[in-house]
Amino acid sequence: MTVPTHLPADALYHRCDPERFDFDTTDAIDDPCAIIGQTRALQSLHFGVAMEPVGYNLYVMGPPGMGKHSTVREYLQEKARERPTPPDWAYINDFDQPSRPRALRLPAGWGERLRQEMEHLLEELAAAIPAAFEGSEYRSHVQSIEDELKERQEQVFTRLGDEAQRHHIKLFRTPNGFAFAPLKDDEVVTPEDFQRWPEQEQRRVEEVVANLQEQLQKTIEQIPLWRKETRERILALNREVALSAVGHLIQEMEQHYAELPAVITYLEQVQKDVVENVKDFLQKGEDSEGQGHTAPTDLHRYKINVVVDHRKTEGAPVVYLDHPTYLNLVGRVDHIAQYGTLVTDFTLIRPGALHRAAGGYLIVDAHKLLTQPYAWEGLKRALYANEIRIESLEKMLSLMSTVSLEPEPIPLDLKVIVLGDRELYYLLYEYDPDFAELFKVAADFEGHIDRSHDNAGHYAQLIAGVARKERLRPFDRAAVARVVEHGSRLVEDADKLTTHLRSIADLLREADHWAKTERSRVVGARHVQQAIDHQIYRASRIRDHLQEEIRRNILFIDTAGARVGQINGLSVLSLGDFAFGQPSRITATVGLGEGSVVDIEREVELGGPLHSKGVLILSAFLAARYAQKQPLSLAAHLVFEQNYGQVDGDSASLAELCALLSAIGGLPIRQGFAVTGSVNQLGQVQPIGGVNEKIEGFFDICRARGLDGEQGVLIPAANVRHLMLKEEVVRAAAEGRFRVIPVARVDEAIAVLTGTPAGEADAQGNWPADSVNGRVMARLCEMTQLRQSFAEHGRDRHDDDPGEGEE
Amino acid sequence: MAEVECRVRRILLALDSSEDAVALEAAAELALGLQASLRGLFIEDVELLRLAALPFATEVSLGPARTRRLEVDRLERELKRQAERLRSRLALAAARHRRPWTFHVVRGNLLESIRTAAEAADLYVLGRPAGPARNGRRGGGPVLVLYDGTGAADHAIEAALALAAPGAQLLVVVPQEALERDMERQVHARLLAAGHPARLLSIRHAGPADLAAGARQQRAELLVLPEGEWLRDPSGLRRLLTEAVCPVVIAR
Repeated sequence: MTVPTHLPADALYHRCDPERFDFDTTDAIDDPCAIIGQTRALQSLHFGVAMEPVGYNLYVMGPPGMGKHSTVREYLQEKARERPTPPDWAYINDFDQPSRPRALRLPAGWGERLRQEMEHLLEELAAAIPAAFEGSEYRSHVQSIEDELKERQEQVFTRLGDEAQRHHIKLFRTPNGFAFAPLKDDEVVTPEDFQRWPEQEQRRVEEVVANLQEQLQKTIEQIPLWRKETRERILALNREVALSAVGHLIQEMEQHYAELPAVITYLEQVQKDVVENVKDFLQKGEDSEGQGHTAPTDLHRYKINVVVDHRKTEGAPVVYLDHPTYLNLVGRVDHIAQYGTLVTDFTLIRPGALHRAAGGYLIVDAHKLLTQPYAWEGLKRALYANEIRIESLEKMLSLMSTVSLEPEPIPLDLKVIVLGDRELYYLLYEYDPDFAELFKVAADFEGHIDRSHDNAGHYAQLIAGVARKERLRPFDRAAVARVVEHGSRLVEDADKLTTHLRSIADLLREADHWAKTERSRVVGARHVQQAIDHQIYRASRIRDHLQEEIRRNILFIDTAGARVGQINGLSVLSLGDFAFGQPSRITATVGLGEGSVVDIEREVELGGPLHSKGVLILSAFLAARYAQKQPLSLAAHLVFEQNYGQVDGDSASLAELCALLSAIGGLPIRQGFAVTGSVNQLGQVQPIGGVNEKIEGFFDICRARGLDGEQGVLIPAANVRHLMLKEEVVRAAAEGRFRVIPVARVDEAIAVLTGTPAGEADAQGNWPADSVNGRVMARLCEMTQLRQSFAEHGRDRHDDDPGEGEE
Repeated sequence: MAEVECRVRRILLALDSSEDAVALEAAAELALGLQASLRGLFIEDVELLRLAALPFATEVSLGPARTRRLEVDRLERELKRQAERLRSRLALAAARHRRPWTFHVVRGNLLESIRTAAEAADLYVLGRPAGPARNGRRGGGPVLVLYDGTGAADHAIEAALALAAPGAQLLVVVPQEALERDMERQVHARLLAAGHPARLLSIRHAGPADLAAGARQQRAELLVLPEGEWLRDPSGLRRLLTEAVCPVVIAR
């Protein structure tokens, strides 16, 4: 087996040659673009938008910052222009059932027109009706009708009085009615005098009085009928007068809406209601019964509440709902406080985003939608029913049964586009059966693309697009090349480019800023580099603090010399959008035991399941390689020194295995190296994540202490294609002051680390005695024998001792 | 309301069980217009009580037109309640117009009681003793006033001007004999000074029957008269009150 050698400097960084671009600056690019590498997502989007059947709504997924929102919105706006503008909608009063306002459909832009015309009509009515009713003609007409009633009453009472007078009887008003009494000398006869009258005269008087009373009774019975008749005549007169004042105004308005039968019907109802309730327009008038009115009168019921107004909409609407609460989505009915109670009417109906987007497109963020109570349920209900029904949450949940408004539902023809991450998509698909029914199309945004020649060109187009859209300075070709390289670093793959638009756009903006501070008219590579460096600088306070702790020997990391059972592992810490590598000392100790490898992190519950898995694999590796002919008689302990937090992942398993082999075989490990990589049971080294950060993390420590050419990092061979290391590392490697060594097997790693060949087993399975494996094997045999001798000694003692339980 | 020279200090409102709300309202308005005090007088008509004592005395009630026995005790209780009701209404009207007021209840002959009480008043308002009840409504209808050239007639004109609503018609009735004495010019001058539009009518004889007929004919809301000898005739006053169909205001 050959000992692996370090990588050449050019393998540590995949450069982008600026000369491959045929432009000087991005200003020269004729076809800038806003997005790259999303062919699959865009085709899904086009398909979903084009599909008309119900349920073909879209879920656009991908991590935040991919440009989903702007891509979707721009595409929808383009498609929306080709579609017809949907109708306006207004809520109007239902004069028969005011608690159920009616929805009125109007051609686009006509809602506001109708509202204004109704306002104007009300103003006209408010002037015309009082004028008609305050006129002397009307008043004298009413007076005449009322006087007729008075005269009629007076006449019958006068006639009755005269009739009584003829019989020397007088009509009296009592507190509760009327009574008749016989007179003597123009005065009411006293009971004594009456008793003295002849019986015949008494009977005659009584009969006359009885007769008069009967006539009076009939008269009084007639009075309510006469009053009713008078009221009806006055009401009829009111209707006639009102109609003369209202009719021509309504007719004039009807001419404007001749082709809209629903509006004509509504105006007819308005006319009928105005005529029937004409007193509401009379500020200080009197009705037929002489009762004064209280002013001002509420004329709200004639208003038009335009809830969807497309006067300024060209094509179909595209609505993005930033705060998708249930009420913002489906609309609500507001209330106002009035004399200590909350009241409402149809003018307080407020539209939701569904109203505004009906006939077009609605864009919502999945996370926001799902975190708002009942918003998701409300959206699904509307999509299933194809209508927008405004219901309060209390009513929807049957929490309250208060009588309130029930606005007529508005038909819904809508394409909903939900933007979210993949996890939410799969959770919804798994747990909500309605989701698959209503969101049949998924548009999945790709996180990276191949770093091909063409795609590098597309990157240049994207940079040009962002620069023009955001009015940034043009980027020269070197700057573009540097952005391409950074695009690879962001996805940790020298052969890929990120499609994370926000990261790219942020970098471009910041590079532009640095160019501006330098008064440069063009953004160059140094400005891009300055932007990258400053991003790292802003985010690296904790990294710098930890590295300082290492330099001051508070955190123990050796970068020179050799130690048995001690190795430098590498981990990655992610804080926000910044990740950095951090060396950690891993130690292994061994003693006699039963073949166990104890992960101390796991014992104290600081190790995650993946880390534990890695350690268990080590046990399996040891058993498979060294315990074919004898049992493993060791007890090994592994620990991340000075670690006080959670450890997870298996990227330290190669380092742990090397430390363990060093401890068993008594072979010192060179501390100038750090190791990263996971191993499988067969000793193969597997790739890990964060390789660039890890290398740079150890490099920074070594550079701070002085690079001696003996330092470096062992990485899985499979990670070589991920290398996009920073300039200092590449330069140090080129100067032979730092090494990055790829390893494919654990034997390669231990050979480099110990400077001792790992050794290969011969046909009988024996290892060369001076090899790492040979020394490990020898030590394990020794431990097995020791253990066996202890066991035999123990058995002998046990045989000599009769023991308490044996007979 | 037209501004008038104020000489009236005391206004008497005399009502019986007919509860004439128009009369009450007119009295309150007069008190306000003339800045006078208001004296309410409720008369428990002895004739009505005598009627109730008759063995066959019955009354036909308003509303549901039913006949029931009229009893003295019950009538007295109802008259008391009515008086109390009237007192409250008078208090309310006086408070609304911020005028001083008093209220009294007397039992006696209606016209005699009025005449006695009127001695201490400058002007008295008489409700209608019989006939259908009237709602309290003022304004709009004409005020009919008799001008016979006496000093009381000047007071009557003042009262009529105070009662005539802005824009309402004031009808001044001048007896034929007064016209012959060139009273027309005097009344013209009087009305011109007041600045209220008025129409002059002539009447052959200023007796109760003619005045009542005139009030009915003109659909007058109020009839304002100067106190005269004829008013001392109980039957004349009774006839006027019964036939005029509106409250009568008498100036002294």
